[in-house]
Amino acid sequence: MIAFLVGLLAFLATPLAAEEAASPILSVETAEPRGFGYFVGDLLRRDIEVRVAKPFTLEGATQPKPGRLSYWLDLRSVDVSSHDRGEIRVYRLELVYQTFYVPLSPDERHLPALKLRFVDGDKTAIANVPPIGFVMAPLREVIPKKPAEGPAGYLKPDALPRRIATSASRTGFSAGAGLTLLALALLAHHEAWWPFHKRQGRPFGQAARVLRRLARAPSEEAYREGLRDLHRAFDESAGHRLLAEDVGGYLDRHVAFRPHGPEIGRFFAASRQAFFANDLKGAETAMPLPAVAALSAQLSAIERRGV
Amino acid sequence: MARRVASEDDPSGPAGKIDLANWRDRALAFEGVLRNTIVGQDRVVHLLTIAVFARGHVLLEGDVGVGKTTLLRAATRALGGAFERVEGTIDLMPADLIYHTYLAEDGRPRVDPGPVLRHGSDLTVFFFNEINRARPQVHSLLLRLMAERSVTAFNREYVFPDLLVFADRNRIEREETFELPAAARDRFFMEISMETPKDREVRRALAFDTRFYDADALVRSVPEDVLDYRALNEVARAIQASTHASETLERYTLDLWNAVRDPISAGIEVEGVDMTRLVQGGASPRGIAYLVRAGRVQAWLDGRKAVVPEDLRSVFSEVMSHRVFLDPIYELRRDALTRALFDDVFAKVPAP
Repeated sequence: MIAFLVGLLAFLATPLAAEEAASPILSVETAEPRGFGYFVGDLLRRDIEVRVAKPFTLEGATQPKPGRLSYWLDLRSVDVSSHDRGEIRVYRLELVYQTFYVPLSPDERHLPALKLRFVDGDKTAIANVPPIGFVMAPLREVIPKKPAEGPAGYLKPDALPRRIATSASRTGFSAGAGLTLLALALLAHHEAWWPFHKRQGRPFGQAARVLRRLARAPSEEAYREGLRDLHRAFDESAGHRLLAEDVGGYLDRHVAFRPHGPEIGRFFAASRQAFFANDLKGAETAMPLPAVAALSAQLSAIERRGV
Repeated sequence: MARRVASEDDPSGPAGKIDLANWRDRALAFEGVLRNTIVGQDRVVHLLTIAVFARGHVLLEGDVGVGKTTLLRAATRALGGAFERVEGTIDLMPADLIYHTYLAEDGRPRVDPGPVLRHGSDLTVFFFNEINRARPQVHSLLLRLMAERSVTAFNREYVFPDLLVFADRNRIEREETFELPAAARDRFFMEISMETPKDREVRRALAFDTRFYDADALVRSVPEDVLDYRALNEVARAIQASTHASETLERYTLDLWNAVRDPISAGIEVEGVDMTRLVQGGASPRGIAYLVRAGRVQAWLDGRKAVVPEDLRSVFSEVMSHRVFLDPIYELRRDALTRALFDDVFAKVPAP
């Protein structure tokens, strides 16, 4: 009797101990969709939670792949996540199926079973997820009353398109356009473009514009006019008529122009030669009109920087 | 230095024999000598040099004791020729300038040539001290002397071809003085104001440097005959003939003239002054001619062959201010107002 009991105990204990050691799959839980009331095209979501002992991990190859499973069933998406809880790793799979089965009468269908394989080196373990059934119902036509105007009466008028609210966009556009115009106006003011081309404080800008035009068609008269224009710009900038011998003092007061001192001196020398020594040719050789235009453009750029 | 012969420019004219480059060196030497003698008056010395080479009479105006007389004596010594000096007083009469009347040792009254005639045609500088103390009759004589460089005395005409009249006037006193008639003032080429030097070092030298204590010794230190006064008329003509004034400068000069005569049309403004009343007249054609003459000499002294606006500006005030006649209510502030007027003229009239 004792021997029998011992033998029985040994018989019972052995597979239990072996089972404990063999299966790292601690639990498989599923959250199933309802089992009825589906029509063609409906979505079914199945959540599966598998708890495994570490360090077993889910083998990627056994994880279900989205795609067509059969002629009536698609697996739309698979979302796998895992987290650790102590010595346990919890895998959560969210599977979304879509059925395209068209039953003629209510009929039970099944989402397929899954075998999820977990590995740890050479050791493997399989978690079986059973199939789950659900009942699909047919779509039945409801026969409406025959409309008086014939089959055309079945057609319903088109739904009016929903008006998209545009007031925010319009306000945004107006504000943007206003800001653009303002920015343009400020830029024009800064650069002394039309209608600010005669603004105060941009004499070299005006002269540069005129000189650019004159330099395109050089002639003796254009050269004289160009020199005079730049003289007027210097006059306005200095606040009085600036003669050649005043240039030193002028540069002391307008330090930003000082790097161009030699060019300014060359301009005044050329002007003196052209206007007072009656040597226009010599003056043009000493400082041709494009050089005068370039000088005024450089001074205009400095002037815009606000000096 | 390469010597340029003026005859290349003007072979037909009287300048033919004048070496202007050489004369320029001598003019600068003349200026340098005076500058060493009368320190701190560089501008006055420069203007005086211009006047000498433009053959113009000068009215010096300034404080007492700034060296007006010393400057003129030094200039005369450097020029060579004879120097004569007369003090203006209220009882001075034209005859006193021309005749010297006295009782001779034999008890008879005698009439000899007076200060003006004493040196004959060698008279180079006639210095009239305190000209505003003399009576208008004397001014009239002076007017003829300046305008024609001649007087009539002893029933004949005396000519002084090389004469320059220098006069001075102190601006402190106004009692017992006679304002110069406009015609006489207009004949002065320049009216130069001589101020006490502002530079501290110059002031120190004037106070402590013993060289300046004895004016006679100072004048004697000036080398004689730096310039040959007998050639100056020819040189002046050559300078005027060889220095060029362009069409632009002519226009600029006319614009300046117009701006002074009619300030409103040129947009000239002087603060606190009714511009319709300020300028009553003056700025005569002779004045403008003198201005251009002075400008040419200035350009020549600067080594240029063409007159530029800076030349006119540098002499404008001295040549023009005594020719502008202001409304009587502004006359007392004359100096400040003409200065402000001219400043604005040069600030507003465009060149070129």
